[in-house]
Amino acid sequence: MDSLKTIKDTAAKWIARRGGEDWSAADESELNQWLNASTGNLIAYTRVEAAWREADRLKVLGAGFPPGYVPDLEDFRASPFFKHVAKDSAVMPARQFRDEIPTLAPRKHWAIAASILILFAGSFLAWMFWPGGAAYSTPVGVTAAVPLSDGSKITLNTNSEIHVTVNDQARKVELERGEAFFEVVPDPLRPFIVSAGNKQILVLGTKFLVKRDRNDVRVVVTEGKVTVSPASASSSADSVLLTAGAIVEAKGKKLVVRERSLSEAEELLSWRSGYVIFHETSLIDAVTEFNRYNTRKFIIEDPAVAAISISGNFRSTNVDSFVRILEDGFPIAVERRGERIILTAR
Amino acid sequence: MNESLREWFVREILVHERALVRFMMRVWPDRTEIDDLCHDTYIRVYESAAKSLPASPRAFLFTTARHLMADRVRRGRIVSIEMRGDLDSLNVLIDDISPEQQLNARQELWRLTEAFAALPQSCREVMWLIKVEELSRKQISERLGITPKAVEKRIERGVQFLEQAYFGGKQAEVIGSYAHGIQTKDEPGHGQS
Repeated sequence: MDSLKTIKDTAAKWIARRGGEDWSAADESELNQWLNASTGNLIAYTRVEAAWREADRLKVLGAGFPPGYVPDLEDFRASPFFKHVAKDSAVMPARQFRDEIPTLAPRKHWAIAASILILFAGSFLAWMFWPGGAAYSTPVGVTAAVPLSDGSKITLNTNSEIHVTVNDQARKVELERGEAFFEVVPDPLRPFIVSAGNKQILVLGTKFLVKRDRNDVRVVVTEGKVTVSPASASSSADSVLLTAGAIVEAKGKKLVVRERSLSEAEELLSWRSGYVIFHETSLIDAVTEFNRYNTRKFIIEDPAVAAISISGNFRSTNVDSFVRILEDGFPIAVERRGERIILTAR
Repeated sequence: MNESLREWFVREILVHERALVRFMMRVWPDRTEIDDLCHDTYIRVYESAAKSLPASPRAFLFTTARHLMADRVRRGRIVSIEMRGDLDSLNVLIDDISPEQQLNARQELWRLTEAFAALPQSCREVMWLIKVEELSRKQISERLGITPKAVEKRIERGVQFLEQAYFGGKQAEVIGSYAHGIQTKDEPGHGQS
């Protein structure tokens, strides 16, 4: 077996070659062979690939330097972009994630504007030019991460699409469909605005999750602050400030704010690890969620079956395992017809 | 290739590498072996996760590392009198590990900037032109007056540096350079292409 140094060097060679203009299908096949040859190869490649993708965030550092000039550390230190960053990251205290109940502004009913965050992802991510920016989308069952040129990062969930416009003046993301998790770098000169249909969310530099289902929008804040205001806000007094743990749901003109502990809110991010989590969820709601991640769809027509309560963590793309659990633990009969899985009472 | 498993691995496992290396350094006397230990731990974690994702990735990572080290001692790979702590105390050490600092997005960016600024001049130039100015390999080769092969070589070294700095941090850089002969930022670049 190759030494670790050889494996790491080979992985780096592959990454360096892969971005080249003369990359061919034969190269791709050779790479896959090497990756499949051992887990060690795959891990070394994954590690260097992740570093390579993270480096896309360097783009934001380019603003403020003339083309052709390669800045050094002193140039970066002097940049106003990093003025408020604790340069020594050892100074930052560790965070506790249990049982944090944030205080929220009083609830009001609003027309909600949805914000969009865009994330950047690897090979499964479809990317295309879109007037004024770029579009990214994921197929069913796939999540993907997208770094933005301002240093922010977006993770797309299954079957989602975003349109991004980031330039010197503005940072805008349109959530066309699906769900995305945003990690936004604050920039006082360029507000970050996410929109979903006729709704708009202004981001103050934070981490949060947006989900869109036609005109219903849900926002979950897991770090920092998000301001939600009506699209036609006349003054900032109309805004609702949301902090970590807040879940906002906008259906039509109604805006409902719920407070949750941060760990509960973060469960809504479990899809990033390939899981869905249910807490005494009705089976009809559970399979609706499952169906987002799979082309084989569950169908329930029996109200008794629809009302069955289910709890647990499930792999979002493992349909067969979920079916087995239903058959074993509940009075449910399963019938498969092509791409449909029909659940009836047993 | 299982993309979502790899994404999970990067996000939930590799993110703990600095803490993992610190942990290993407290009890494993031979520092040149730590990279190997780390790599073998990753292999076990990945293969296990492919069958069933662990509920607590961080704890699973450290427990796996501890088992691996215990295995190696049992097989006589190391002389135990040199060990600063015995293996039983590793149980305590796992609970003792301070939680990872959670960085906000801007701090993450600063960390990346530091790593980038620490690159040897020749690599830094090329990485900047590729990632920020988004030039093609051909354009870079013309701009810098070097062959495309040389451009590729610099990318190769540049990304290895960034990788060490991003996942490993300073301590890992030292270990990495010792074990793999990669130059640290304190050594002058020798203009290799």
